[in-house]
Amino acid sequence: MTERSPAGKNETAVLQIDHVTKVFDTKTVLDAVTFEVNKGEVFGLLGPNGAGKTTLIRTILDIFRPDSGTISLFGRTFSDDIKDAIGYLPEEGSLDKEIGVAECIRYFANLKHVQGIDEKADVWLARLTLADYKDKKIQDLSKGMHRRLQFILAVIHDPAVLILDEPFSGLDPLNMKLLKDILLDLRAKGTTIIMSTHQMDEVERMCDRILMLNSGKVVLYGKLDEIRQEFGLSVELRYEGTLPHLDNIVSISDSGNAAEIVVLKDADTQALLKTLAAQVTVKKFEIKQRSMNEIFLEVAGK
Amino acid sequence: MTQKALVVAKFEFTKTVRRKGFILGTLGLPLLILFIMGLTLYTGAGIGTAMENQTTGYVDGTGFVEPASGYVPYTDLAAGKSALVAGEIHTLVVIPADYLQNRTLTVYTMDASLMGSTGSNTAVQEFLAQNVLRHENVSEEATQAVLSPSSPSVIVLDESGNPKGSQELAGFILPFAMTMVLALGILTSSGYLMQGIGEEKESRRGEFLLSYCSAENLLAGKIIGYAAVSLLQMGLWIGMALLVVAATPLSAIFSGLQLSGLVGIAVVYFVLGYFLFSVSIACTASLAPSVREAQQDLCDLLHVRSLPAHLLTVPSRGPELACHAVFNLLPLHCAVHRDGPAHARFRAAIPDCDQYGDSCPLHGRPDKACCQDLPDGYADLWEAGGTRGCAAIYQDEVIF
Repeated sequence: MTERSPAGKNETAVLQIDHVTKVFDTKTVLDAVTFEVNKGEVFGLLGPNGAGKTTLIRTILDIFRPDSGTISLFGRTFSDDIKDAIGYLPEEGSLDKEIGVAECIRYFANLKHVQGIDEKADVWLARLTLADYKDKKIQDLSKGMHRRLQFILAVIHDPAVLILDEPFSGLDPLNMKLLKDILLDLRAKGTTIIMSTHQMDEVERMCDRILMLNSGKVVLYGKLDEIRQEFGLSVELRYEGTLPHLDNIVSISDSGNAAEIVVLKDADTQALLKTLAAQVTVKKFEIKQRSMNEIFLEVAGK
Repeated sequence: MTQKALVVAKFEFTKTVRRKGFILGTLGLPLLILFIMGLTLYTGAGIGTAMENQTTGYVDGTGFVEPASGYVPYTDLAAGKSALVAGEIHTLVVIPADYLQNRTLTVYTMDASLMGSTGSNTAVQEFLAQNVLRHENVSEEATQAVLSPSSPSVIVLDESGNPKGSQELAGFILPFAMTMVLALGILTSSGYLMQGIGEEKESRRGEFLLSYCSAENLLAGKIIGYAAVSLLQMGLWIGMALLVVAATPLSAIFSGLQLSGLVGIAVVYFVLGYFLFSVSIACTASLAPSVREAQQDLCDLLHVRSLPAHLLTVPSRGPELACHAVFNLLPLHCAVHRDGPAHARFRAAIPDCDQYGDSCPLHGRPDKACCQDLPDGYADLWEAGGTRGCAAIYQDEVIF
C-alpha cells in the first residue's frame, strides 16, 4: 500500500520513473516506462534477455540519458551527490586487475566519501569471506570472489538504494545463500533494493513488488501476490481414466495420468473437482498459486 | 573540479607510476640515450684522438707553459685566430694571466659540432696535463688547476674568424631537447590516458565508475592524474639530463648559457598543450568502442597534428608566408611543433646577442651592415626582431 499526498505524489517512493523512453538508432529499448519504487522494499526487475532491464538500470544511474520522460530519486532530479546514496552491482564488468583488493575498496569508498574505510572494509571482507584476500591483487581472485568484491564496493557506503543487476550470477549455492542473507539483512535495516534477475524462485522469496519488461514495454507491474493472483490458479492433478473436456479453464497440460490445469483467478475449483471426480479417479487435486516462472514464461512468450 | 576528480587523479597517478611500463619507459629512455651518447663518444674517441693529434695552438698569459711538440705558441689572440682560420691549428687555447687563480680558459675552434666542443675540452685537458704537470716546479695550486679544471668557455669561429656565438650549439640543443621532452611527455601521458579509457570501456569498468561519479569528474580526474604523471616523467628526464650534463664534458656546451624567465612560458605551453591533447584523446577514446579503434582514431588525430611537419619545407623557406602563421595558430600544432610557439619561446628565452655589442652574432658585422642586403620581405622582420631577428633570418627561422 502506498501513501499518496493530496497532489497525488507518492510520499514513500524513493525512485519515480515517468514515461521514460530510450531509443538506440531506430530501436526503442525503453518505451514510456513508468513505475515507482518504495522505500525499504525489494523491487524485482524482470524480463527476458534484451527486454531493456540493464538499459533501464543505466538510465536510472544517469549513465544513459533518457530521450524523453523523467527520473527522480528521493524526489529530486539526478545529480552527482545523489549517486552517493546509491550502490550499484553491475551484471558484467571487471575491476582493475593490477591493483590490490584493499586499494580497490579504498578507491571506490573514497569516491563515495566514506569515513573509516579500513574498518568498514575489514567488516565487509570478513562477511563476504574475503578477509584472507585483502592484500592480494584482484587478478588473483576467482570469478565468485571478484563478484563478492564488487558487492562490497556497492554496499561499503551504506547506500539508501541498492541496485543489483543479476546479483547471483557467477556465485555457487553457498555464496548465493550468503548474499541473499545479506540482502535480507539490508532490507531489514531499511535499504531499498532494486534487483534485476532471471532467477524466479529468488524473486518469489525476496521481492515485494516487481516490474516486468518485454521489448522495452512494461508488461507486469505491481505486488507479487497480486500479480500471481491475477494470473489465475494452477491445479495439479493426478488421475486414472480419461480426462473429459473442461470448460472455463485457461490451459491444460496433460501427460496421461497427471495434468496441470490453469484456471481463472475467480474460477470455481470445487465445481472443477466435482466434474473431474465424476469422470476419472482423482488421486491428487492440489490448488496452487501460479509460480513466477510460469507467469514469466507465459508473458515473455507472448 | 570536485573532490571526486582529485580522488580519481590520485588513483590514476599512483597506479600509473607503479606500472612496469612507466618505470621502464621513464628510466629506460634516458639510459638508452645515455648509451647512444656513450657509444658516440666512445667511437668518437677515435676522432678525438685524431683531433688531439692535430695541432693545438695556445696563447699563454701565465708564462708557465713551455713549448712542446704538437703545441704551437702564439703571442696574441689575433695571431692565434688567424692560424685557426687558416687551418694551421685545430684548437686555440687562451690561458689568461690569472689562470691559476681563476682556472678559466677560453677555447677557440671552428668545429661547431657536439663532438667538436667536447673534443676541444678533452684536447685542452690533454694540453694542460702535458704542458703544466711536467714542469719541474709545479705548485700545488697549478696541479689542482689541471686536475680539477673548470669547463672552458668554447667559442666557435666562422670562416671569417668571427665568433658564431658560444650559445649557438646550446641554442640549438636546448630548444630541440625541450621540445622533444614536451612532445614525448604529452604523447606518453596521452597514450596512457587513451589506453586507460579504452580498457575501462571494454571491460565495462567505466560503467561501474560512472555509478560513483559523473563522467565530467571521471575524465577530469584522469586528465589531471596523467598530467601529474607526465610532469613527473619530464622532471625525472630533465633532472637526469642535468646530472649527465653536469658530470660530463657536455657542460662546456652550456657554459655561460643564461636563461631568462621566459622559460616559464614553456611550462604554460606544456600544460595547455597537454590539456588540449589529452582532452581530444579522452574524447576520442570515449567515443571508440575499443582500445584498437581508439588507437586508429588517434592516428587520424596525430596526422592532423603533424600536418605542418609534412609541409615543413614550405613555411621554413618563407617565414612570411601566411601558412606559417596559420599553422602556429592552430592549437593542435603550436604546442609541440618545432615551429610552434613553445619552441619559439624556448629560443626567445635564450638571451639575445646584445652581449656581443654591436655585432651580429652570426656575422660579426654591425647590425645594419649585416642586414642591409636582406631580401624583400625580411626588412620588416629585421625591424621587429632586432639583432636576434637578424640571426634568426639567416638561419631561416622566425623566432619572434
